[in-house]
Amino acid sequence: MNVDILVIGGGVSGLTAAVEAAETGYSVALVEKNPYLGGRVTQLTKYFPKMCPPYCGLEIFLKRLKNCENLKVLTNARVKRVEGVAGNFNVFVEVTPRFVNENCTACGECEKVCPMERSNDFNFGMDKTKAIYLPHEMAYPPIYVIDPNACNKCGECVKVCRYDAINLDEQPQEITINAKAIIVATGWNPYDATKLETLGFGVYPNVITNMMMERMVSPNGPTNGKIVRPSDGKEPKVVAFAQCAGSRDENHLPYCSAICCLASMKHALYIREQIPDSKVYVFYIDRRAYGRYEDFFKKVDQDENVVFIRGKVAKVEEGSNGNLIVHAEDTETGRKVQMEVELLVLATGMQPTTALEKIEGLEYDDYGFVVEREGIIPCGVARMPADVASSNRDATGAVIKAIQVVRG
Amino acid sequence: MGGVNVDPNFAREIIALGGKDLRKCMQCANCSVVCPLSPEDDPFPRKEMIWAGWGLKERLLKDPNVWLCYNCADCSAYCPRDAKPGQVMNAIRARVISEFAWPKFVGKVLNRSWGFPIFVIIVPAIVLLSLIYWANPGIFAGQLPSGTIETSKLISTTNVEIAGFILGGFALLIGLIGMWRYWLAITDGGGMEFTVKPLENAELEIKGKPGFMGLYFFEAFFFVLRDILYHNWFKICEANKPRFPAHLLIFYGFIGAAIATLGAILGLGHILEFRLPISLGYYPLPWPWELLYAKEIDPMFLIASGFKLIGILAGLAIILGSGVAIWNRLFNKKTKEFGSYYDWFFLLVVFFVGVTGYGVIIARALESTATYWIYLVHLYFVFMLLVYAPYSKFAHMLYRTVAMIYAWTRDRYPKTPKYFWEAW
Repeated sequence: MNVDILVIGGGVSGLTAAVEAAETGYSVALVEKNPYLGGRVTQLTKYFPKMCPPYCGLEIFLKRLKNCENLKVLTNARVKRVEGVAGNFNVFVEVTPRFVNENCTACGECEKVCPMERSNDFNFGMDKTKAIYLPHEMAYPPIYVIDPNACNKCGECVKVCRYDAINLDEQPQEITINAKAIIVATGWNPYDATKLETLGFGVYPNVITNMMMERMVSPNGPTNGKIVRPSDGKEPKVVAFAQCAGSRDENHLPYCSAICCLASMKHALYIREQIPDSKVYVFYIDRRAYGRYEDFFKKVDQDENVVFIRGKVAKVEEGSNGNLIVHAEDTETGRKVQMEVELLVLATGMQPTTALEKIEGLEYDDYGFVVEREGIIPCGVARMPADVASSNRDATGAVIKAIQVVRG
Repeated sequence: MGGVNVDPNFAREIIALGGKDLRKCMQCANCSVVCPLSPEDDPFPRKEMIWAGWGLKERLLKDPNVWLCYNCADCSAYCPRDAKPGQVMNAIRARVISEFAWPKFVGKVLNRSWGFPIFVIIVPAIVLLSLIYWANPGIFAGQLPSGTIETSKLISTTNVEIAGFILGGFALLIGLIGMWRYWLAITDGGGMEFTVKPLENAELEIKGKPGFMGLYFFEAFFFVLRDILYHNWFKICEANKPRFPAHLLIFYGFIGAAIATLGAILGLGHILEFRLPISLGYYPLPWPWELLYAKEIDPMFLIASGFKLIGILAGLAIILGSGVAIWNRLFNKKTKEFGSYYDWFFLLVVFFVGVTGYGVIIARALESTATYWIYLVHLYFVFMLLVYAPYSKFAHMLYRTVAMIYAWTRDRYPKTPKYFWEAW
């Protein structure tokens, strides 16, 4: 395959880059490792700056994407290696089988008969799906997918499918794409909270991460939007947030992840709206609501049931009834605080995807973010931690740079 | 509280004394919480970090919190900025010692690496060589005593005693002066009565009134002594676990060495020209294994060889303890602390006092004339340990005791197990 611009990653940055590049008339390929487009944004309940539900923004992108004839989208595809120089890159892509083709109408008959289950990574393991599943209800492409690790190849789904959409013998493919410029929009993963050994994630069930909170509040999430404690399904009345859980920490991610302060403020509002008699405590080092987000911070700060305590949560212990005891020093009073809370949310930071899964042939900084070089332009969180709006702008800028390379 | 004096040089001094990552601190207070010893009220070391950074010298020099810290290094292990609060606290302690031990400049120079040529080479060379010359000029002509190996043949016991009394007395005096001055500083005048007033910005004003200490002091001292003897606070440390056995061995090693020295004096039966009421009549103290060959056992012989056994075990404990401490500083990556010149000077002196002391024991048992040379090197290290005690890290035992007594009377004592067996 020969294209002008290759975009790696189909999240909000990659989608922006691919659509805007294609709309200017250049031929574009978009490679996404997940079976769906939209990336992390699809997992959010609402996103900044306007608190839109994710489909609101993504829908517009998908509509634009469908109108681009010169844009080729590959899902379930991972870029393994990049070779060559600006103007002539060879990119080696591994396409894992989806086992379901475009004939699929997402009727869901296959799912009913499938006997195998898998942990739902889209919801961070908080629920299960069948081995043949639709990643989420608004997934694009709207086609089912089979998890080869969960599937036992019993063939029940093939029998019930009326559209001849399932082929259990599909094999992995390796393809090479020749591109003149590459935009890297590989995005991020939430930092692995089990590495925060003093905060009890993975040990105490009522310690969750901010992204789990996001899925929980989402109407299509594991609890259909209800905020509950994982241990007993009860509505939590006292919730604490531990900011900088792994960010700004030399032992974990040494940089500020940029979004966690605002995300926790947003979550505080979710909780306060859904549970009126709730109390939220946010333990922080600095409250970084940058730029115009100051207004949002002020809005949250006005709620007297959202209390900001300046001091990092350094230790978490189990209390009675699955409650948690959060230890910190309130640096404004100079006393230690031991607070019993019903749910603790760790504001885990953003780790670039490329910190854990390196693409051969790209350059990285110490933290695993992609470094720009001629013809290879990182954008969004692949370049630095950012919110959605900044990523969009960053992606548009990356397209201009890529076009300059393509035109020579 | 009125005006606050800021001394920017103070921060530089703390950095030079080993708190070199002080300025990385972002005041997140992770340290105060992971610290197993930090009290609920007015916890440390977060505040000490900012005070040191700002150069609030007066406040830190009077802050007993720095001695409630046992350098467990949990703070440094978990510090998000790698600012190593444990090392900063250690540097502040070094600075406190040099502030209160008279005269100030000795401590200031001794605890910095540029003091090395002065205090490790020039001063001991002059003092020690003149003392030895006074005791036995023949050594400089290479004349070693002949016959059975006895250190008293090289330098007579009287000479060692006189030198010991002068140097030891000096160290004790300076140490007591420092302790007293420190007590006056932290209590604001010396009394045990005090008033507590909360101020703005989370400060507590604790003002002492001059007054009678009374039994209260002894009650506090009893509990402090119990915790020192049992090493209760060390046991709470998490990141720096080897510190507990290391300190325990060195601590009891020194106590054992003191007991053995007492035994040697009893063995001799007199101090200088004064006869003691009891005399064992065995000097030097006999080897414990000589008991195996004895046909009749004289009770005095039994006691004398018992003292010798204590000395042998004490030496072993000091070598082993300081060896573990050295190993811990070099290879315990969990603490992320390497220590500063101030730590290493003291640690190595203790280690070599032990090693050379043991060298003397072994060489003498082998009846080698190397005994005399090892003995001279041993005296060199003992000199450094003794004379610099009030200025070096050795003085921590004085200041820490004072601060712990203070903390006990102010109800700022960490919760520790009440009895030895509860701690296990």
